[in-house]
Amino acid sequence: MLNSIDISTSALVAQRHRLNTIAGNIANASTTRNERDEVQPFQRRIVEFYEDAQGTGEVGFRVEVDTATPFRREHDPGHPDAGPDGYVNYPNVELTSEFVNAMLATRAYEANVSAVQMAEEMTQLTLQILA
Amino acid sequence: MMNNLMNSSSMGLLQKVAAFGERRHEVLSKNLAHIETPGYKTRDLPVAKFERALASAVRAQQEAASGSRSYLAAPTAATAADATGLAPAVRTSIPDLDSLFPEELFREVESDPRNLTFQDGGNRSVEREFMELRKNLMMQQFAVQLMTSQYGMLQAVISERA
Repeated sequence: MLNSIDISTSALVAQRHRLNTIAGNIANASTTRNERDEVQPFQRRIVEFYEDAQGTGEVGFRVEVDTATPFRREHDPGHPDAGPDGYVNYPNVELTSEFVNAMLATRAYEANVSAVQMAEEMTQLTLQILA
Repeated sequence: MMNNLMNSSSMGLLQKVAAFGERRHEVLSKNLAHIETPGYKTRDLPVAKFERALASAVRAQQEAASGSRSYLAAPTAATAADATGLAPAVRTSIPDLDSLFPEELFREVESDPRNLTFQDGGNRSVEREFMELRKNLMMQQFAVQLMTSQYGMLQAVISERA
């Protein structure tokens, strides 16, 4: 019983982390510099889920950097970070898909909360067998 | 006497149903947890097999019960045999639940692809998992409630008041 709560909790942690990552992507949707103040557009982060190898069935996750999607390019010669051709590289974050992913993460989180509630209901009643 | 009291009723079967429900909840919530894990295949316990085992256990118990009734109805047989000779005979009439519900009934297997299969081979469906979780929860609670009321009856007998 406690095992199923553990599994649901691992999924809750993974989905929350995914939501955090999405929030980071949205917040940095037009960041053109990195933390050392060099011209380097932010790259979109993706959370990847996998099944825990220890056989517990828990959800594991890792954050990966999306290097495959090209940067969004905008012609703006007056921008301080514009290249010699007058184009500015903006992060490869697409707000529409980020919001869709955020919604998915929220729903998956809710689903797992309900599973925990059901496990709790089950345990509570079982504990009352003799009461 | 206690063994007879506990096992001749449906208590043992109810306990198996409740244990199965708990184990199945674990497997189903794992499916829900992995709803977005690429390549994850949904799993389940062999429900149909468990139900068949339950049916045969009920049948075995009914047969045992009718057997013990005829033993009660024949006082000559009881007086003929001494108490030590009778006790094992009564005990063997109670079906062995552990052999009727083998371990493999509680082991998870990949569930059959009942719905749309995704490109990664997964067959996830939140709705189906949720319905199964709910149904399973109700089944388990049903077994636990019945157990509670049976213990209540025993309690009433012991304390001679309800």
